[in-house]
Amino acid sequence: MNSLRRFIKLYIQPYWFRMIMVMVMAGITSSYSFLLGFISKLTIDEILQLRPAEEVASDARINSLIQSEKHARRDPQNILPHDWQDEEMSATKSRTEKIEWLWWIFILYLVVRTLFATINWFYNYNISFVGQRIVFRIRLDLHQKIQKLQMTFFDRQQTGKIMSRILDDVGLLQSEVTTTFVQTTRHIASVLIGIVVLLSIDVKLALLAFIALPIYIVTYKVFQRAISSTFSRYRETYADTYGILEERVKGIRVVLSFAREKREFRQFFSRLSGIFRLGLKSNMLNVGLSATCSLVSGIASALIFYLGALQVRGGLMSVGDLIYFNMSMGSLFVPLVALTNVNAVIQQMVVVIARVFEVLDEDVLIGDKPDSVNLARVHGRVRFKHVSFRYNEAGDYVLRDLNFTVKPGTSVAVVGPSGAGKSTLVSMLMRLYEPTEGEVILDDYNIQDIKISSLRTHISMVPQEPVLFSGTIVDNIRYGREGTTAEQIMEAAKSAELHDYIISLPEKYEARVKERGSNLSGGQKQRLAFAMALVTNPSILILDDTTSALDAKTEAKIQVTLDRIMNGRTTFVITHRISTAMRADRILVLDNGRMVGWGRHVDLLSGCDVYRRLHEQQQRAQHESDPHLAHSSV
Amino acid sequence: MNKATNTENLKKLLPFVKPYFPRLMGGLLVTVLLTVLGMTPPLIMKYIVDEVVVGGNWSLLEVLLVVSISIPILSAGMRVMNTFAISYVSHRLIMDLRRALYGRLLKLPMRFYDEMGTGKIMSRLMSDVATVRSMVTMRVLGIVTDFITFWVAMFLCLGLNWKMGVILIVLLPLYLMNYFGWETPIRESVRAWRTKMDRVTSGLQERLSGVTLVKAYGRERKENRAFTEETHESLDQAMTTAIYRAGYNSGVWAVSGLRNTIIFCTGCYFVITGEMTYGAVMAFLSYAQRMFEPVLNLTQMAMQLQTMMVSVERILEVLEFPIEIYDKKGATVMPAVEGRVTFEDIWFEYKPGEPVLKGINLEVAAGQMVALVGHTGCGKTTLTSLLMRYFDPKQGAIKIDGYDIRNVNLRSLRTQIGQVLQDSVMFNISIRDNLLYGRPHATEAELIAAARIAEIHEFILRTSDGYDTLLGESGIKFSVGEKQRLAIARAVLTDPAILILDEATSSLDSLSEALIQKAMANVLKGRTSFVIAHRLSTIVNADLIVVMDGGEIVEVGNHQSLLENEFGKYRQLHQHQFSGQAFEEIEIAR
Repeated sequence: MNSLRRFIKLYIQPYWFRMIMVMVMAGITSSYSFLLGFISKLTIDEILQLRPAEEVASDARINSLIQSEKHARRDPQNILPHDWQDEEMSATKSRTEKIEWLWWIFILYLVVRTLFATINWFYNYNISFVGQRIVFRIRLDLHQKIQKLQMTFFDRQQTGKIMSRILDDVGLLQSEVTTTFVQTTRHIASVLIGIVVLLSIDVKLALLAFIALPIYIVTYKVFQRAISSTFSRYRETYADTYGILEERVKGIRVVLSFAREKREFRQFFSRLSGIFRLGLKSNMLNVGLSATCSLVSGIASALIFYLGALQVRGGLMSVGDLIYFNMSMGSLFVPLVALTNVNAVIQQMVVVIARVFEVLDEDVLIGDKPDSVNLARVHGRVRFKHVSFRYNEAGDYVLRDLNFTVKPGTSVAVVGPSGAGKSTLVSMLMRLYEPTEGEVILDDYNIQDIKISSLRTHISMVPQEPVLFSGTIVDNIRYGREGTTAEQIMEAAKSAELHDYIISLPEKYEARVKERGSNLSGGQKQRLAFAMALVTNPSILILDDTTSALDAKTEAKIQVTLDRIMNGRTTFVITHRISTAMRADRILVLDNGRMVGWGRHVDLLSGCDVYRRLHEQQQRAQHESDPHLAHSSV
Repeated sequence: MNKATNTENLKKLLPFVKPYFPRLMGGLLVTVLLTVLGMTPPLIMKYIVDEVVVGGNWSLLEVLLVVSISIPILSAGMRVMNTFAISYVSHRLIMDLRRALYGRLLKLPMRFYDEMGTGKIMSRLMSDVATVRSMVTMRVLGIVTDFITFWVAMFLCLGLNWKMGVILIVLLPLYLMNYFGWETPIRESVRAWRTKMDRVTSGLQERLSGVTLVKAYGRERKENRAFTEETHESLDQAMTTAIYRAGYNSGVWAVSGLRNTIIFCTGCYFVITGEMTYGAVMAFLSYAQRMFEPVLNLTQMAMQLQTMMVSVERILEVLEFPIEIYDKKGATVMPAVEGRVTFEDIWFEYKPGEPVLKGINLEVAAGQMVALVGHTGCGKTTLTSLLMRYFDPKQGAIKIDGYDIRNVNLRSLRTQIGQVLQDSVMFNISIRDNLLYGRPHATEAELIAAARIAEIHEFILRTSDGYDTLLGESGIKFSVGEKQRLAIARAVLTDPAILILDEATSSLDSLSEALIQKAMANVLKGRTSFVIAHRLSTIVNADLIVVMDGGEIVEVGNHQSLLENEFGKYRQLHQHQFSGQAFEEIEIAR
């Protein structure tokens, strides 16, 4: 409930005026059916002048005259508006008079309908207006928050879950929030107006009707509980079956290899029959509910109509009132039921709201310290001092006690089996993760004391698969580095050896890159990614398995470029290929988060088991599963 | 998709509906009765007002009370009955359909799974079936109800007062025009909104999956701006849709308001002139209301039918996919084998004209270990798949202990061959149940023995609930190496005479690597085994090394003998390997 209050304050309050307007309009629209009933009553009693007839037909006219007089005295609130309150009203009108009055009714009718159609339009429009805007703001807030959050958050939450929070959950809020708030107002207004109207027509009948309403609600509640529990069981069984089926389809080879078809089939069948039973049960409960409800309301209205008719016969009620009463009672049942459901809807909403706030309240762990420095120049000496890292207190260490120093302008290859922690290691350099223990030192500063934006302009990363955006080549190269000049861009393109290709294009640097760079070759994409990284002239370069996706020929060409780019920069190269690693000044071997080797190729071949094994396997990969024998084993 | 195939497709699903035909018909009949019964209250109302109250025939009142009470009772009873009949049929129908689909699925060849993919198969079994169900039952009922309601209401209206009936019929097009007038802008605006939302979604996806890059390049603020823009566009589009929707709603209000106003006032005029009674006006109003709604529903039918036909077609894709591998008539149960495997001139192709295996001849003695080596796509995996009979060869025969595997019962074949795949699939059940998958009634001792052989027992004991630890989403996640050892244990438990093992290519951490090596050594003892080899030690230790290239066996022998053949491919590959390495070293030296 707390989050609900916060939600209202944060997101609904800004639109309070519209919200109140919508609620007022909702209240007004709820009176619509009662108003129509009243017009019918007017017409019947005052214009058509339908009078209850006695069994003896000859007395009917006189009697009705007396009764209508009695009626008019007894029921002052049902009398027409002031100017209609003519002497003749209670007397029988002539045919032409009746028709004349009917014209007025026609106009009144039209006015009411037009008015309500207009209100209805405003009402619908404003509901969407507020709802959409609330959603818009929540999405923006969520997005902003997510941009600020640290990498550990993304490792913990799957992309799909975050997406569903930003898109689906919030979308649900849009439809739920506004309708719940507004419809509730509408229903409350309906019920209140309905009760007043019924009481004003005939107190005794109204009290009788109020007896039927609780029965109706109780029926509803009783069934509703059974329905929702059955339905949730149905959904569970369904989801369960879905999961199992998906698993089996994915693992069909396992199923077949163990010849488990019969058993699987039987199991699936038993689940299907579970779905069948629950589905049928849930349908039956639903129809039970609606049948019972219409039974209750049907019998109640029949009885009340009967009693009403007796009242009319006894002259205690006019024909118009009877019909008015009947119409009003009918429009009382629906909002009443809806109101009993409000709580459930609000509960559901609270869950969604809580999930939204869960993200919004997530702590931002990595940020600038108050006295953080802005570095103008970086030499590129990187030192890891007893660096350990784990995602959370409960988890295992991903990196354990790393100690090494990289001299400015030299290169380090990071190798090791997948899952050894290679990417985490280089990410720490950019402060995408903070060390759990120990510190990372750049030149003479602990990187936690450097302003993040400053740190990241001095470090560039080329991802494993070049991430390109639809836009021009310039847009792509300039990505993230605002204020770069055309010269800088061209310089970067030249360093990446892409310049010649670019100027061969008809639109030169303004040529468009299609989504995901689909109009570029693998090598060109990679070079474009290099240009992106080089545009700030970074002192430190991180290459994340950059060449692994390329074929051998392209790789050889790129390698030459790379050697040039790396020259004079501290470079971290994550790689699976020993041939790439061998080019580096130093090789760092990671296994299970520990540094098991540090040195040059030759030293490691003799001194590091993990490296030797990688070396053997890697050669196989290079020759694409060529059968081979490393000469050392012969 | 044309009409003829539509009808044909529907006919193919008819056998599923047939057993429930009487029920369905009964349900339909009750529906008709119910609809008609539902139309009576306005008439009763009319009688009460006209005959009793205004007409003075008060003795009728009690009779009408009884009638008006009995109608809800009657219809409640009928509705329960009816829903039971229809729901029963509809739920049975999906059960039967899914059952048939799953049964088919288990018999279908591997080719089907490779071509269709898990997602598509899932949607066919789950959502497409649900679509068909709702169409067959609920929609059919809807059509019947709407159809009857419309015509009965129209005739009653015309019967009550034909002049007003004509007014109604004149107004009907107005109602439809409102619908069709707004339908296109709404649909288009919704589509535009979806496109914009898609852009938001894909943008978001891009940013989230590339979050490292976004951060590395300090793009946070820019991304926020881009997201704001995209979302704002979708917001504007949503508002356009909202305006159209509001327009449509108001249109409905206006038209039905106009209708009721005109009818009410005209009706009242007729009451004054004595042409009509007020009760009749009331009844007329209720019927007029009921006449309009069904028309709209009926106009939407065509589109819904189209959706259903797509689902039907997709379901049939599964149901009609040919079963290629099945037990032959008179297939015998293969007795426990020793494990002598012969491939006799095997030819195989996935796509006609592109043979993957070209005349494979190979004889493997019982208990031998065979290492299959060669380039990716040379046919190693296909060869083992043929042994499992996931496919049948186009030509040639595979024999185990002299039995042609096509002549024996599939079950007896596959239970005697164990298989450990490269990325082993484990189900989201407990470790125990996973291990027992191939042999549910194994004893605890056998279970533990198998786990020991696969070098995974210690590891299992260290998990939170030991053998009862759940795997997968709700449980723990295993690494590739651990999963492979589990898969080895699972295969060992069935004690197969023949074992197929596809070594993991991904580099494992040193501990996993050592354990797998040990597990493999344990497992291969005394079994005929086919190892798709990626590791040096495997190749060296094999009794038989089969070198494959382009779907052919180029060399067979053991490590020593193959190396001795001076012009052999094996040695050649080895040379090439060696020179490749030399080349690299030269390059480094530069």
